[in-house]
Amino acid sequence: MKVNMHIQTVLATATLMAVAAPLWAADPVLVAAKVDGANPLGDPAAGYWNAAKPVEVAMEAQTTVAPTQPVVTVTKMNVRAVQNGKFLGLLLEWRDGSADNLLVTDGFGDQVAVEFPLAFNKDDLPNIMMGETGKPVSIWQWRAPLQYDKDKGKPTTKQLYPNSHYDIYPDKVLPAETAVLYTGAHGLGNPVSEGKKSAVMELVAEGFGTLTHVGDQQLVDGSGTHQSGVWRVAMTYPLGAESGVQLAPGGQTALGLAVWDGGNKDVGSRKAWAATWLPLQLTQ
Amino acid sequence: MAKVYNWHLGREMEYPHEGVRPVKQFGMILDTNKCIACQTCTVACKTTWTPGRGQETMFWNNVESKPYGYYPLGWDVKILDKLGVQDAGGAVYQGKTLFDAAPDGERILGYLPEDADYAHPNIGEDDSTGLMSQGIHLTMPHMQWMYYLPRICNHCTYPACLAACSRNSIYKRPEDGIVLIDQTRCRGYRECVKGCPYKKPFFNSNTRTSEKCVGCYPAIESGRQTQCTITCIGKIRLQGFISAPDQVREDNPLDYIVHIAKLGRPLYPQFGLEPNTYYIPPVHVPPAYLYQMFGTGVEQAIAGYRKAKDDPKLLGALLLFGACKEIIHHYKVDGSSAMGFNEQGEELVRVPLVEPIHVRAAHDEKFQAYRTNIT
Repeated sequence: MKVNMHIQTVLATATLMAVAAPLWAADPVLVAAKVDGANPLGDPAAGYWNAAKPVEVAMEAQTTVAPTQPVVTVTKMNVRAVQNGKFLGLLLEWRDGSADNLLVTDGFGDQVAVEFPLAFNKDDLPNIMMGETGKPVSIWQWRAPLQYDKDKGKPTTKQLYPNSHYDIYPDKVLPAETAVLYTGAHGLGNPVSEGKKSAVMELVAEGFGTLTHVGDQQLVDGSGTHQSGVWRVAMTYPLGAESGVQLAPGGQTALGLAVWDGGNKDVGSRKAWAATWLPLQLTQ
Repeated sequence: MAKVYNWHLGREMEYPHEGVRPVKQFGMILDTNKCIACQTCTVACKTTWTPGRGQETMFWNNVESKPYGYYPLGWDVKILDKLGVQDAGGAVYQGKTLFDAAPDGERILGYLPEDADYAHPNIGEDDSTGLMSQGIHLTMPHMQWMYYLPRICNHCTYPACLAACSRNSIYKRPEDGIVLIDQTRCRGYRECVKGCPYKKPFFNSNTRTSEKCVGCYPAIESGRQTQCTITCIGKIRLQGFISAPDQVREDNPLDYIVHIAKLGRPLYPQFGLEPNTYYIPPVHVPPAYLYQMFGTGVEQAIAGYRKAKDDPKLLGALLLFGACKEIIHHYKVDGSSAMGFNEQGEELVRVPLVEPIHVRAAHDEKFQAYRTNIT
């Protein structure tokens, strides 16, 4: 069954290549302005963003691949970029009246993601929709629930359900090495289970359904704040990295964008996205 | 969409993946006539698999009262309502499956339960269809009725959860057909929770992933039946492997009951998932209700159940329910007993077809005491 699913993924990708060729718009161009310092550029409240000229990007519902959310609430985003010779910084801003950062069965979280070709070639870009076989993309996804974990600690069941009562948990009566067997994905180190290290996940994809976390290889970091109905999310990535996205002062790449409104039950492929690659030019 | 053959529907149907049947298919038969809703299975499952954080209201195995019990709330009537009235046809189902009925932009017709729908796992317990007026007596089928429906994941041949998952995090094991969610790949999109009409994948708010019945796969791998089966005090379950209709083995008790005696009926076959748990329908419930839940053939199943004593092979298979912990791959009936064998042909258990009757004398000579008749 797994083999067949893989074949189907390949077929779906091949079909999409035919109908949705990569698009490269010469204008606008996102310019990563040079700023001072040598530290990571992942603070959404920092002053260095003032050096960057924001680019407004139109967002639309992803309706090519099922399942879809045909009515999206985020229709535009502002993007800024800066670099200090050591790090790239991206600031993503969009309007969302509610910070959706608690997850229950019918409650979804706000998210935003940027995407880069792992091997940039202006004339041979990967499919903007999650890349394609042989042309992988790197995706950095920030999640509001992971941000909540970092800021306030992971919410307990009692916090999610104040009136709940439970007799006893395995970790209260069993030794740690046994109790971990009852923790499922959390015990397996699934990156969505707890945002201890970072609120941003670094992922690679080669087509639909292939998105995979890079694990310990993660280089991206970032942070997000919600104020006055606006999310401001910053992501930072080292320049000249040996693995992952190859970025250097004076260099060029392409950037894709996606955003999820948890309150609109956006999740996975139910999202708003920018339909074309946005050129990103790093200053010298 | 690929064309696959669904024998419950008697026809081919559309499914998002190629149809590949596993080498063996996990299966279970549950006799609703014997279930008393003691919830021993539920507790056995809960303590084995879901006592952890984020699993507080998660029951991979549950027993609900029908028609008014639901877990989660309204799970079956909600999806039946969405699917609408369909033409059951005769031997070949003429209506739409949930895959046929998928709206634009969706892989399957489904719905995501509300969080509160899980808050009362045993709602509707023992609620009957109505009151009995004074002086009335029950006739068959009963004019007022209820029964118990124990449920686990059906480890479907064409799982909706697997079809709905856009991350390819769900897979069906080729060796035994058990459907699992890869907890390292799942990102908690809940497409499986939305897509599965039986609502057997659950969202865990602590791990932030979806989890489901794992078919007790470590037990299955070592030749043992599931926890819910071996702990059942009413011996209502038989767990083993079920064959496709063209591979039927008469000496497999599951095959005999489902394919040959036709006593076992799938749960909501019209959804199109070819679920692999089978139910012996309750004999006292009006067939009109049972058609909807178990498809056509319920009257034949009930008639066959009533005459089970006349078919030694069927009686033998039914008596192997709860008879041993190990999976019975083969069985045989001789003059007076039914025998279950493992895959290697070794005898696991032997049960008498007719329980011997012992009559005790009213007076115990040894203790010089009269025995009390407690029946």
